Amino acid sequence: MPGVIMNQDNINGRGLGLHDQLNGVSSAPAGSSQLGNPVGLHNGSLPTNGVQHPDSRGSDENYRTKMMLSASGDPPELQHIVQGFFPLAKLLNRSAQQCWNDLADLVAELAEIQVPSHDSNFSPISPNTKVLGNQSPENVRKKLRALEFAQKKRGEFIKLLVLSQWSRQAADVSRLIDIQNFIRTQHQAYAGALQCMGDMKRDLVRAQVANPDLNTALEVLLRGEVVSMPDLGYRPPKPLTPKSTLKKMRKINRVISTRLALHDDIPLAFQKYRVHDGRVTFVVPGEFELDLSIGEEDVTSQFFFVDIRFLFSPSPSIPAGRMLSELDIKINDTLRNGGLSECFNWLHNLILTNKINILARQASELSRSLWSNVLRSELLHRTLVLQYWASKPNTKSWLEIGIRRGPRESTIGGMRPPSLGLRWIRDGQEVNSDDVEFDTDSLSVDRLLRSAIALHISHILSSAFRRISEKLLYSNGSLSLHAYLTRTEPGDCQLDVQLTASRRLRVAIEPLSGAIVLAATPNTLERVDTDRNMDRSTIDDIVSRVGRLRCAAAIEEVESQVKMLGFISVSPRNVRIDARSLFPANVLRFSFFWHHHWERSWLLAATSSMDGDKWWVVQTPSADSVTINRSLDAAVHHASSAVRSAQVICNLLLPAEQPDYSSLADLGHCLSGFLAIYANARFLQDLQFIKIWPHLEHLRIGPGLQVPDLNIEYEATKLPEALRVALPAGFKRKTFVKKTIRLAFHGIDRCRKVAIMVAYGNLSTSFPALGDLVAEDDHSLVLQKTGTGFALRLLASPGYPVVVALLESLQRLECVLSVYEILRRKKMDARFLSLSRLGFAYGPNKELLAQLDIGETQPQLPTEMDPLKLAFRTGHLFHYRLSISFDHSNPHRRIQGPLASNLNRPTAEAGLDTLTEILSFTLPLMQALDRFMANPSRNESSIVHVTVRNATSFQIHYPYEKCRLRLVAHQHQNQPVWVLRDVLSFQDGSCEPEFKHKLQERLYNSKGTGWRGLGNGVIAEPDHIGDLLDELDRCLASTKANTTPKALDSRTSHDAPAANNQSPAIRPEKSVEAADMHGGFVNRNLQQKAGPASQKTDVITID
Amino acid sequence: MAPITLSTIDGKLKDIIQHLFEIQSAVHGYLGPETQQELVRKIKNLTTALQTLSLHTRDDPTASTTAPNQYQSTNPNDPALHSIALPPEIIDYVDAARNPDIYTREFVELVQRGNQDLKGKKEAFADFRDVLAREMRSAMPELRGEVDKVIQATGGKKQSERERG
Repeated sequence: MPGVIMNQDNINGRGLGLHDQLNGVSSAPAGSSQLGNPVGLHNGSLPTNGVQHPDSRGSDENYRTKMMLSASGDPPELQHIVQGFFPLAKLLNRSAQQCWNDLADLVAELAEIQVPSHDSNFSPISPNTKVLGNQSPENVRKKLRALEFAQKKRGEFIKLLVLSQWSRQAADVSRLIDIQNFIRTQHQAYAGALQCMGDMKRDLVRAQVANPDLNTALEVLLRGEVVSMPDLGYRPPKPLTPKSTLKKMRKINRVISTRLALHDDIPLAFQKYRVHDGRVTFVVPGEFELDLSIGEEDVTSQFFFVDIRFLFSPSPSIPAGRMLSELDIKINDTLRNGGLSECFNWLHNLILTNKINILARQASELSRSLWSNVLRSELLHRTLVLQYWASKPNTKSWLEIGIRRGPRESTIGGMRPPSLGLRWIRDGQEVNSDDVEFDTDSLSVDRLLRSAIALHISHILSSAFRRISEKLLYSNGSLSLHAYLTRTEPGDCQLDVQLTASRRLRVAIEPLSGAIVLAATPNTLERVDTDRNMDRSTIDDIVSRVGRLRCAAAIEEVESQVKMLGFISVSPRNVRIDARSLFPANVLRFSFFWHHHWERSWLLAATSSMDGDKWWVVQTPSADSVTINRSLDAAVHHASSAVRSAQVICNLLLPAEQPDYSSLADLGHCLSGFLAIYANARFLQDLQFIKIWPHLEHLRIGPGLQVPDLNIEYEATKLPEALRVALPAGFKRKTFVKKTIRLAFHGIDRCRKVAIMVAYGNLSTSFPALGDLVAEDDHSLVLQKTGTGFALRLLASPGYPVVVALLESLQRLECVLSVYEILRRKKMDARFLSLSRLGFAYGPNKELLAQLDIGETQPQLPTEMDPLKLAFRTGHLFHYRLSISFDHSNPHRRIQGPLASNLNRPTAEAGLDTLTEILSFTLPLMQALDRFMANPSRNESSIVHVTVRNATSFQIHYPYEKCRLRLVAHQHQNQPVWVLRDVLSFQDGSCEPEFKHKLQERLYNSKGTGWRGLGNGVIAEPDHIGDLLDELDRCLASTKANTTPKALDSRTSHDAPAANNQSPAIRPEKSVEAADMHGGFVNRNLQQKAGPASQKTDVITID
Repeated sequence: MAPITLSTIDGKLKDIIQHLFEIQSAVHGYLGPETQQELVRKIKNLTTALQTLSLHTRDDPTASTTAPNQYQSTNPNDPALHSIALPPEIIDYVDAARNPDIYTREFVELVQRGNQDLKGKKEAFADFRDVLAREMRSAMPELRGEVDKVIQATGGKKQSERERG
């Protein structure tokens, strides 16, 4: 420290002042010190000064002198800091200048903005009113600009004012700054002092080295030896010859053998040894080979370590040198202290630790390479913990490899030595690790992990296998399920699940991460496999995901296939179905379908669960009511109430065999058909009057996509009233149809978009040759040619019940059959037969044809037929009415109307039974009338009007003769006869007297073949009524020829063309028929009473 | 010329602020030609005030050469304007619209803390010096004299005095 010393000399006398300066801060009494060296302190730090400025004495000197002068006894002035200080005056000056400049700019800028110059207009406005001033945008902008300026400047000047007021403290604060500066300088000085001391301490280390022993060094250098060191006088041993070496070796071998055999207590593990080459080699399999030898012959002397080799792999090589010598020393110590057994224990533990360390190293290498992020290895003392599948959430799985102390007593009685132990904690639970392949001789963490993971995966997959195979679909063999498990290779473990007939799923577990791998073929199922619940266990996860995939695959397959058939997928929301409550809880996926051929109220649903795939038929309220509900109270309407019924109909979604297009078409056919059948069954079930078989609940699609048939018990008398047909009056209900009717589905008529339903039944009695009567092209009815079977065809869209139509048809059939039977009894030949009409031939030669029509008067079926309402409805839905028609050559056509009304009249003499009698009774009359009409010799002068009052009552009117006669059927001596009489007009004289006279003469008092006069009338047998009429005509003709040949001249020309033409006769006939139909409906009594009206309608004009 | 004091400047500044405020209110309630004249008058006033301020704060050519004592006013509460220089921190402080008194207070506290700290250090170093001196005396008795000198020079007491005292 040269600086300090020199300074001390020079400034000795002035130390007081400097010292005081120092004390000025610390306020220490200054007077006591006489001598000091404050220079160092003043300059910052003593050593720094000394080291760094050894030659700067002069400048220091000057500086210090100056400081001393100015201080003059007081502490020296603090350094006054003015750097960066800013005079307030300048600040104010500049601010004022800036403000003035800005103001000038502002004024110039404002002057440039032109304000619309109507400011002056505002001056006359009275000051009382609030004047808004000029609100033009320019003006507003101007004002804003001025306001901004003033605001900004005001802010600035307020700040300046604040500064100005603060400036009163400026001088004090300036001093504070100086003090702070001083304090900072002092701090730096102290820090520098510490640094210097540290440096010094570091440098002083070298001072500790001892001084060299120069005396001994000199002696060695001079003499080459040190006399003071003693010489012990050993001699080198003689070199060994090979022979003596061998001899010694053998001797040593002998000694060792003897000793081991007789004296030493050899531990169990060292039982296997061999003596050779002057050493004994203990072999502990799987661990090490130890070579030991002896130093003395004494049996109590210790063994010495020669060599060691490890017998496991991978094992470290023991490098020669320090490591080996350490081992050497340690083993020799152990042998000396504890003998062979202690040596074994020590080495055994060493090996075990070593093995664990090797495993740990392998594990950490694995976790750094291939198994990164999925394997966590941790070494706790001597326990290695290997957590595999570390990236998996939930429970952890790990292997623990540690030292297992053998508590078990060995056979010999000693404690078993500790060994490597393995614990396996699988998913948080310890399980038996015996199956894990753990080879302690050939250490491989990789193999160990593979084995454990393979077992783990096998466990998971087999559990999943068990769970899945419990499901009905797999337990009954509908779908296949295979598991491949191995104990060694985790990648080979997999589970093959058959999802549907064509799809398969392979479940595997990724060995490294433990993630579930699902591979579906064909691979189209990713999107449904999104919900992955992390909280579930792996097994649950696999089972649920497989289930979901399977059901999704099944439904997807059905959807895609069925859509090809024209089925439309329906969202359950659109039909307001709460599907979850509709189907059982285990249904995972479902889909609703509709076909545009079907009724609105029916849907099919395909559901899929692990226990089976099913088709359901779902009935909803009809579309109309749904839409009404939706519009009225969509919010209130409960979704689940939308379903009326739902029922499983088939346990197989798609045909079991490989689906090709024909079998698909079968499926579509079958589903539509089933729907049609089911809708009917449902209707009948709701109707409750009619028994059906199979029962509704047992109605299923049969194997091979067979649409089931529905058997109905039909008994017309047991039907509800509404469905019973009201037969024409006087018609006796008779049962022709056997009770059991089989309703079957016969496909879809694609053109008319309806399902063809066929009802099969049997007649109770056999009608020979009935089948031939049905026309070939009439598809609605088929009768068996031989036997009693019949079939009815009914058309309706699938889902629309045909029951009402069926029942109606059956009753109609019975009705037709009963008519047929009556006709047959009356010996009339039925010619053709259908459900609505029956043609027959009659007459002497069966040459006359007529047909009976069974018409129904029910105008239209109600569109919505609620079976429940129907069952309790009163009044018939159907009313039958018989009518008869003839072809145009049939003479009976003239009385067609009266005949038809006769048929439906509820009186005793009416009805079908009498119809035949009337027909045969009136036939001659009709033929006679026909003959009249066909007679070409008749001219207009002999015109006659025949008026049909009813089928057995006619009025004959000769207009020119003004003669009215009545022809009525009467019973005479139990024989029907015709009676011809005058009408009243005849008697009151309106008739020509001549004609009257003639009539009296030739008819009333005469007698011919088959007729005879009664005085005031004529009675004629039915077959000879023609003769009577001929006679009448002749009588008339002769009268006419005498009396009025000229009266008709005027009309001759007019009516002549009509003579050969029958069209005038036919025309009124038509009108008669139409009118009569009408009249017959309205009121028969009216017709009977109202003579003029019926006369008018029943006119037959013969000219 | 009598030195311009801070109170004068304060008055001028207040005037300017007042003028600016009046301009603001005049612009805000601008009605027409009458207010226009008023406004012109006020702007004139402002200009005058600015001029006065500028004049008062003009650089005094003598300020740099003469000693600061010249401006020392008799009243410490009303110092001469030209004696005042502001540290740059305070200008930033006020410009950021913060209270300069807080700055003052914080600075005073900082200096107090620094003083305390320094006192502690000084005493600690003195203790260390004494300990070091004792150790050196015992380890190297031959240096006892030098150690004593150093102790005395650095304000400590001689060992003998310490033992006595």
